[in-house]
Amino acid sequence: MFVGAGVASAQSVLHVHGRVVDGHGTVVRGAVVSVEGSTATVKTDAKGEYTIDAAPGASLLVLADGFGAGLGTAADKPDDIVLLAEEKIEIHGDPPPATAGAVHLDRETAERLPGTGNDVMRTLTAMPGVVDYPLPLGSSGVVMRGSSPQDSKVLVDDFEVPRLYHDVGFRSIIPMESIDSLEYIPGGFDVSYGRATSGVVNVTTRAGGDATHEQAELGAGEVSALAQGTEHGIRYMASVRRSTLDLILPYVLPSGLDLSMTTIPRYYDEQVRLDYALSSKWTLRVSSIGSDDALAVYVSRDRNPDKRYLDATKFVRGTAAATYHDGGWTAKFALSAMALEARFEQGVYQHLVQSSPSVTGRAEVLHTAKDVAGFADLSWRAGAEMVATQHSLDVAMPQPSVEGQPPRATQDPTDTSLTYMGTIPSLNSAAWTSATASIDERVRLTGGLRVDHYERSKDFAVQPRGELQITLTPKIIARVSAGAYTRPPEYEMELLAPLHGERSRQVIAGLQLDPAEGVRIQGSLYYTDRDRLIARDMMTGTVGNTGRGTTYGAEIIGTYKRGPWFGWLTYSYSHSTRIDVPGMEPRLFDYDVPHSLNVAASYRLGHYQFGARFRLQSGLPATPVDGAIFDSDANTYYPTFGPVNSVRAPIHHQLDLRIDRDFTLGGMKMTQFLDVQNVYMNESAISYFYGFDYTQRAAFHQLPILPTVGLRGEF
Amino acid sequence: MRAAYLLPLLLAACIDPIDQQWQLDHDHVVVARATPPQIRPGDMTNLDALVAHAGGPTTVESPVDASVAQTGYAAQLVHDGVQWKVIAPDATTLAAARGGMGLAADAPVPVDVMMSFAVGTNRALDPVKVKKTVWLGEPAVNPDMPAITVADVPLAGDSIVVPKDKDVYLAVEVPTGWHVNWLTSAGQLWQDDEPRSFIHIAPKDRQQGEVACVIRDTNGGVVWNVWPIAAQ
Repeated sequence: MFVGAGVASAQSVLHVHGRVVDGHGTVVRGAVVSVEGSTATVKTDAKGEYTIDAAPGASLLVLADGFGAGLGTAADKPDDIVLLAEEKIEIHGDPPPATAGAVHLDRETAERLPGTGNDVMRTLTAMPGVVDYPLPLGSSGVVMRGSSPQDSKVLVDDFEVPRLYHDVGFRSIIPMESIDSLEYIPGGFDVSYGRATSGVVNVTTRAGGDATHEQAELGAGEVSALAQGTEHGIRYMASVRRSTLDLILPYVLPSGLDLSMTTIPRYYDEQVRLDYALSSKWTLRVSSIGSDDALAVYVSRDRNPDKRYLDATKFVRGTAAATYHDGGWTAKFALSAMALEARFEQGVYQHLVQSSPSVTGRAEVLHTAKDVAGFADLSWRAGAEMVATQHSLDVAMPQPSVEGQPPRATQDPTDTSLTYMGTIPSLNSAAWTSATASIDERVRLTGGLRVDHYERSKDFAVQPRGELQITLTPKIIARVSAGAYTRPPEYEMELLAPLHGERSRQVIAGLQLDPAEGVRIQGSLYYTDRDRLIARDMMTGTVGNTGRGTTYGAEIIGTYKRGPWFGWLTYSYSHSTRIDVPGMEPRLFDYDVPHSLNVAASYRLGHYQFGARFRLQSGLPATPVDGAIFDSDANTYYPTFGPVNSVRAPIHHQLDLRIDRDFTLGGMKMTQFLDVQNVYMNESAISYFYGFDYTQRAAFHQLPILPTVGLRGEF
Repeated sequence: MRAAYLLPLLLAACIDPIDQQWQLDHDHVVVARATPPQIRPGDMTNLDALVAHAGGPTTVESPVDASVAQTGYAAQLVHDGVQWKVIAPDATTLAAARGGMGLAADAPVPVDVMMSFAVGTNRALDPVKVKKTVWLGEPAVNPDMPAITVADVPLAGDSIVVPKDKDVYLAVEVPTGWHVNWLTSAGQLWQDDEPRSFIHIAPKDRQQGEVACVIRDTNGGVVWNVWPIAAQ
């Protein structure tokens, strides 16, 4: 809670006329402005402006739904009061999304989406342009707008996490109850984000509330506990979760599997966040997020050493961040350190042991002003970031597949053609600045520049980005953005090759229509051109920055949130191609999904909430096999492939249902939900795979039906 | 990359059934053999293979066609009307080949032979292509078939009888570095690429068929044996 320090004088009273804006310089209407020590309050108007009587120097407190408290000082010409932090943007309300096609979801809204099983990352499958695949397409990324998982960044409180999913159960490493909001920016992100050539997902953790309470939750395959509240002025949130799959899995795995598990798959994760207001201008946040996964299995009953698989990954990231806020000036400083350890062993010969401690420093300054040099509503920011990582690697593995390279049915367990033992330092630094201002009441411009330097690959990237926003009518906003983006070559085994960063250039145009309170429709068109893509020359087997690619598409997002009803509609069309080596013909991208449709609705009735979601999505491309050669001495078949990604799995559609119920039990507030995916059991093929000699082709099917149950008790 | 190895193990329930490599009830070449696998200059080796057939017993067959994969070798491929044979060149030619390949003076020279086998009903026009490496230089012979045990008891006789609906171990002892593969057309096999495998013939499975054991040594040598098997 904010405690003001101003002193009001009864002898002189000012008619203070000011304005309230958010961190982007957008006016905030409906904010409640009060004078400390007084009961008088006023609300900001459509222009974000207010008028209130106060003694000179008195503290003004501003509260608005979805924002943290703001502070101002009564004066003749007061500075804009900027609302920051705890920003909760309802998907139907103000302010507009970060860019055309972006979505900002708060926790409550995300929990209303059927078919997500209360999982943060599964919520992303309802976003337009995200490939909805039942398995994670890469443990550290999201496939969006025709890009590879490594092309996008997933951040938790502005810092990258090394993985999104636990190994088993395909659950996110952060439970839904620990987040405040999720921002999905599929492209066109501003200069403060970097090292990604496609999009960004930024998860904001939940800060402790005014009231202390604890909760425990028992869900499908896991149990979790969360405590949050305020003690001695410190807002706290602590959450811990452990899988219970190790109790269930032995009973649900088919008996025909030839498995002997020495470490039953299990995971832990934790999130801690402490917020403290050091003064009226300084706030401090200390947070931690971590996960620990382990699985050891013999694919043989007799535990033959050559049939052993071990996969263990753990990381913890600790962050200390301070925010300074004074009138139109805001500054953020953060220092974050992460420890990452991973060990993978397959059979007798193949292993990968990685240790990658890293330290990240980040600073950003934001200034807003009402009128500067003829520009109105100016918002200027500048920042810098440096990430230092020391990768220690011990690798004896086969050459990894790259995008566009068809998988083989069998692997040679003695193949250790990629070996490395040593340390690889990595230093990535960046600086950025941008300014946003209104030229007139309808036109708002943003221009910015980000410069990245990747020390290991000796890349120096200058990336201009900008956006033009035109308010066509009070209910229709048009936006056009363009920018350049890069990412360093540091995804898994890219570290071991002399590669440069990949690059992309994006152009996005969109329209946003707010026809009524609680209703929003967004439409966007995008085009992305990529070069220096990391690709393998299938003729020589070498990996280099020889690839190019393009993606274009269109997206529609419709949201409806009025009374007990919640509606959600997204559709995306996308076409994504790649050229691996100059001179080659374009081919479809591995995750090219032309059509994706999501329609969801939920209705709250008393203590119940009912929801349904229908999904339809094109199948993924695949590469056919024309034949195979049997190497008798190696007892292995080597396939001969047809044109890359020239066939496609069939369209998949499914219906998900969800029921939530609230009730009290012994003084505890209880919440239970049942989320059932694919209720009519459409087992369409996701992809195809071949038998040992490539004469048989079989399908990998969608899960026929997947119920998820959860029970939460709050006290 | 690592997840790709584990996912198939954990999601086996979501995939269509497909024939495993141990399945003899499936048209394929089980193993190709050169007899002997290593030959002296001027000597000759015969080429054939153990072939599995869907719905029928295994056979030993000669390739319908053969060629040497690498060019520039003096090794000859001849067909005597019954079998394809590789004839090693003389010592001088072989020494020159070693020089061209950067091999030591006494190293065996590998020759990759590409063979075609007509397997199954629709393979006459699209035969199975098999690669087998023959080594030229010092001679070596194919290994002998070691004795096997069934349920830890040495096999007596020429056929195998196992109890129905029970796991029964099939085992053979081989030197380190040799590779063993078990195959069957009755029941299911586990650990089929280990010296100690086990078979299970459930009531729904075929109750009789064949069991094959294929052993590959470190010199390119191959030996196999096929036994009739039945569940009691």
